[in-house]
Amino acid sequence: MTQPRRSRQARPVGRAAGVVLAGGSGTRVGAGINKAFLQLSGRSIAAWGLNTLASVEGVGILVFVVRPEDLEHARFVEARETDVPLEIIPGGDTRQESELAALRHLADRIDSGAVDTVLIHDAARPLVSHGLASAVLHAAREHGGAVPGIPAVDIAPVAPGERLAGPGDQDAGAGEPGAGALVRVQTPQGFHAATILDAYEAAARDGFVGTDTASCAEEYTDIPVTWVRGEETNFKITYAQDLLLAQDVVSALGLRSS
Amino acid sequence: MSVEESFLRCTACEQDAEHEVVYAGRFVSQIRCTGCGAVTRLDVSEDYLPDLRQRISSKPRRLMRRLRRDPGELASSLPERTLSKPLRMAQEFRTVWRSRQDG
Repeated sequence: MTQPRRSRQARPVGRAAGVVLAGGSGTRVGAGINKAFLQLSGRSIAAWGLNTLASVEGVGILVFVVRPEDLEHARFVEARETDVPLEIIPGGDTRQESELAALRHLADRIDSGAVDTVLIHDAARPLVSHGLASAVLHAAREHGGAVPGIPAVDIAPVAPGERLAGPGDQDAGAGEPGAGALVRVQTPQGFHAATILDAYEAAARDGFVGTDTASCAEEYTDIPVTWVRGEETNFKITYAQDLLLAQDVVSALGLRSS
Repeated sequence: MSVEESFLRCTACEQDAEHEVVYAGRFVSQIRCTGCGAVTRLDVSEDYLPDLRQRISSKPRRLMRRLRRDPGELASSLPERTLSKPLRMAQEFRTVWRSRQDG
């Protein structure tokens, strides 16, 4: 549901849409607020990612997917914590249903060509940088799909005498883990909009449930998904201590909201 | 001072449980797992005053932004928020002081 409640500064022209998912992030029946709406250094966790995506040149639309019970929080974020209009829509019970809801919300504009690329981001990753989001968008436009990841060499099972191909290896592209390497996948994940919309519709018909956007793309499309080097600071708020760590990162990087 | 509750995973008991997050201004000063009772306290006193100065200096700009966006909302909420500000600030100072003692 669109919330054009007040006039705002016009969004820069862009044919990419940013989708931020806050459906079901850390909520249980009877619990407090969704963790995406916990405050982090003066604004909610979700607002950090929304503002970063909004700052990326080429992103012209921002869709904020929330649980129906979080609509009030989402409107507060739009009114007080961002400078850009948000298209706030209710999500589904699962991440994939929420992604499908966002893609269907954009379907007319995807079909008309007004939206050519989507960046899908998890609201629980507040510290995604402008540079990473821009790199994912650029790579997605170049290749059809792009996913940020960090080679997880610290947890990779390596047999004696073997080694993992790293980002600098000859058989891997720039910033790209080599074949066989384990990767900690992050968001935002970027995809050619029409292709990923078709993939999600097909997945819904088949009842396929993937772990993230990339898994659905791999199953239902043949677009090459390229790796973009992720960032250690782009971690997901899962543990309580992650909130303190994020607060320290905000202070250390001088990112505090005004 | 404000307190928010949300489901997070506890570092101590490794369970997803409701956590009570206590804020002193814009800083998290304490997190308590309501499942196992584990408490993490943080001394935010050193960072608090510079941040408070920044909050005060940016207040007029933030109020103007709210006024431009939704004058009705600002007009309806401002009187109550203004009247309750001294009490809220006193609670905030107390939380910062406590974080200094316990953190």
